[in-house]
Amino acid sequence: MGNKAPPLEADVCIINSSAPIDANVAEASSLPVADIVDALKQLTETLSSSLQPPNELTLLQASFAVFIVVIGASSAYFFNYLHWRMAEKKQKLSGACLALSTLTSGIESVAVNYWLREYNEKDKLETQAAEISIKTKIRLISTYTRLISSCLKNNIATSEMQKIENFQLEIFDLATGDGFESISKIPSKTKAMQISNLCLKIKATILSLDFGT
Amino acid sequence: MKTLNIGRDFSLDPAGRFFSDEGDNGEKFRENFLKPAIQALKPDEKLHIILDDGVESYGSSFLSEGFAGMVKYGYISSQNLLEKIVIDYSDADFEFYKNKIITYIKNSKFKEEEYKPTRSKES
Repeated sequence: MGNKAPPLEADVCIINSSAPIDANVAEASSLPVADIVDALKQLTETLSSSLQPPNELTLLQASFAVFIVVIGASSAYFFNYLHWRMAEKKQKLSGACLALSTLTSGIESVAVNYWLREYNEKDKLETQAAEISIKTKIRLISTYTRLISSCLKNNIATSEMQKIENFQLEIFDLATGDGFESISKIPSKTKAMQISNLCLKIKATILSLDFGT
Repeated sequence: MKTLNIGRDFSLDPAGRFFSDEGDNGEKFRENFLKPAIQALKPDEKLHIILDDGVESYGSSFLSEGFAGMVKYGYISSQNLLEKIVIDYSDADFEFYKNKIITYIKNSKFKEEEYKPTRSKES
């Protein structure tokens, strides 16, 4: 027992699997217990230190990481929300423009026909139907103009919006002015022409509206 | 403040310009309703006009004859008329008609014509 074995390094303290078990046991039993304990302790420390991350996270770092995650998620939600709001607005605007264009075609057809004809007692019902149709369409034009105006607010299409608003005012005076709803209505080809021109111009303006703005 | 509710007090279907057009026209509204109501107001009193209680829409011929006619035939100046009336509505579509009434009143010339009834006021 005088020749004390040198202290084993952790990587040396591995049982030789290729050697017979008895030989390993004999070798192990020949080592002092204290040396074995020291070797195991050293091995445990080495292993545990190798499993730990290189730097421990401080509270500040952890909070910052959470903050970044929250900001990222919020931004994603916000941009998604904005995207859908814009898509919805664009769809609403497109629908209102289509409706306004259809109404314009309708009023053009009815009003031109109305102003080309003389008042005739025999056509009283037809005339009244035309008068109702013109008044109703003008009111609906007002509804859609307001809708388009609210969608285009703060956009660059203000000159087009102004044209649409002026159209509403002009078509009202032209189509329902003078002898409208009167038995003394005087047919006017000029008025019919003005109504048709006004309607065609506004349809071109509606088509030129940039929904992306 | 006195109130003139066009739909309830005058007609649900105001249409046309003159008495000769029959129905509830602008001349009838002006001569039989608006003019007496304005004349009956006390100095600081205002006439509250409701546009949309049951009425679906108006034509320019009715509005210009009914309102601007007050100025055109010299019953009241446009400034006085605008000071004496308060036009109201609950449906946003009627803002358009309100603006048109104001424009017609502002654009009409005082005593531009002498009024000649197209038919008896009682019709």
